[in-house]
Amino acid sequence: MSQSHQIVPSTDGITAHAWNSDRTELALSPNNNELIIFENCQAPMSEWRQKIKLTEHDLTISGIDWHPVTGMIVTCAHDRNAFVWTYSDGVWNPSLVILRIEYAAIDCKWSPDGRKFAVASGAKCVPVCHYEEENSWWVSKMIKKPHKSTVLCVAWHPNSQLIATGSSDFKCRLFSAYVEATDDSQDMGPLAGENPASFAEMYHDWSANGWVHCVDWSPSGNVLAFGAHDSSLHVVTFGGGAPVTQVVRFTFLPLCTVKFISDAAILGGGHDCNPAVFADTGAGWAFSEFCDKKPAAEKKAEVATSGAAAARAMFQNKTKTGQTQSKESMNDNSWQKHQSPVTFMQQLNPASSTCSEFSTTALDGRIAVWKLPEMDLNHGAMGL
Amino acid sequence: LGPKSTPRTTRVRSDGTTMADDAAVTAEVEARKGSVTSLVTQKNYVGALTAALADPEKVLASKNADVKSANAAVVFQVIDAVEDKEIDGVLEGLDPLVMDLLMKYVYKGLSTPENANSLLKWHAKVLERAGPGGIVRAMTDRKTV
Repeated sequence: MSQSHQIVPSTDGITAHAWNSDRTELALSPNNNELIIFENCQAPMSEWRQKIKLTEHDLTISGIDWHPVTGMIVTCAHDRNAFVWTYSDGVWNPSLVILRIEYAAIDCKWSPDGRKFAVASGAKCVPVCHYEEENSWWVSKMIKKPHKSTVLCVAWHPNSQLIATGSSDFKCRLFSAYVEATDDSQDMGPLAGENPASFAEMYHDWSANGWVHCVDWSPSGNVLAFGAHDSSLHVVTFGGGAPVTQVVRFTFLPLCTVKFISDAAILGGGHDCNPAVFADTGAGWAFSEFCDKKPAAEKKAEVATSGAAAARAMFQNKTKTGQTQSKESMNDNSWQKHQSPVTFMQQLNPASSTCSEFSTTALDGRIAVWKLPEMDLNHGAMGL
Repeated sequence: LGPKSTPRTTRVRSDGTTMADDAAVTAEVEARKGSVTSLVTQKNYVGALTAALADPEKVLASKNADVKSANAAVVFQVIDAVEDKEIDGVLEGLDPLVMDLLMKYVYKGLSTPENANSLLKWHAKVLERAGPGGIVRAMTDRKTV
């Protein structure tokens, strides 16, 4: 059953969250400088226990990523630092990474092979960090040009050598993140046929009409999707020649986070507080439906129609503050699992190619767990 | 050879436009006004709205406020002519991109106090179809009407 849980007070809110590899532990930050790890997460949500609170950062943590294989956590914060946390002997050890940025870090992501991580920052650059054995520390290399403004999001291609960035200069760009020190041979992935570029060189860019809030690659690495603030989702398909872009302009509010469920379906969470499914119909991508649906059979209150009972009912109804009895209130969204914009989404079922469960967090302090096969959705269209 | 040898119409201003560009756009708006006026008198409101909102690129790209006002006046001419109960029929089947453009004009019209009543009705009808996303696009697009 899909459900939501007020895991931290709604006055706090959650900035980011990440799961460990077997989904028994959850790391999140309640919109401050603390990293909290919950355990017992295979149990029902009310039984999740706070295991430990880690405070190394000085300012709000903006991004958390937990690698399923190496088990390391990377966190980045507004204090322009990132920490790589390793667990040994029952203790989480932080390792400071000097990112060399003058402004806040906005988001961070491990590469799929776990050897590098990238940080989106307000310094108009993306430090890509890898581990140097000789000095036992993480070294950052910068992807700078041609970002003209804050980089809001980063997404690694499955081959760990290409990175897509979304920026508040209205563009999504694709860069080479091939680091000779850590990577074996250069793999061009979906760009086969183009000239291999060295680290930080840009391959392609795409424009939107608003800030690019979120970007994600499909599991196969052949499709790239990014959501922009003009209520649009851009889907770029690679393979054979130039990349083909399709823009889906939808009727609801902009997306803040986007994730591929399969190669034919995308989930978007945004300012409507409700994850939306976009599916690849034969004729192109289009919005399919929302995940959270209003419970259908809402029992209508017994309406007394005669005499004194009716009069009493009328006065009783008038005292119910904030609720209209005659029509369904347009702004009543208490049935929704989230009460504030969904800002973060993670795959919940262990990282295989098809996502069947996912979790969302929002600044309302709630985490919601969604089990796709059990939900009332058009599963066939989603390729599940 | 000095600056005066370049014809005034092709000299590029600091904002990248030329007098020739302005003249071309103004001519286009005049032509549009002509065809829209005749369609409105024939009571072909769907045709009039489509014509008023067609080929907006030059007007969107123009930096001349007078040109934009003139084009907006053509659109408002149609909006004023359509009766409230006919709005649905006129909006039926309108292309989503054209709907977004119409929403921009509704907001432009609402920026002045004239015609607020009919514009608010149009706003509600366009909102039904384009949703809050349409409003977001009208607000965020750098290319203004």
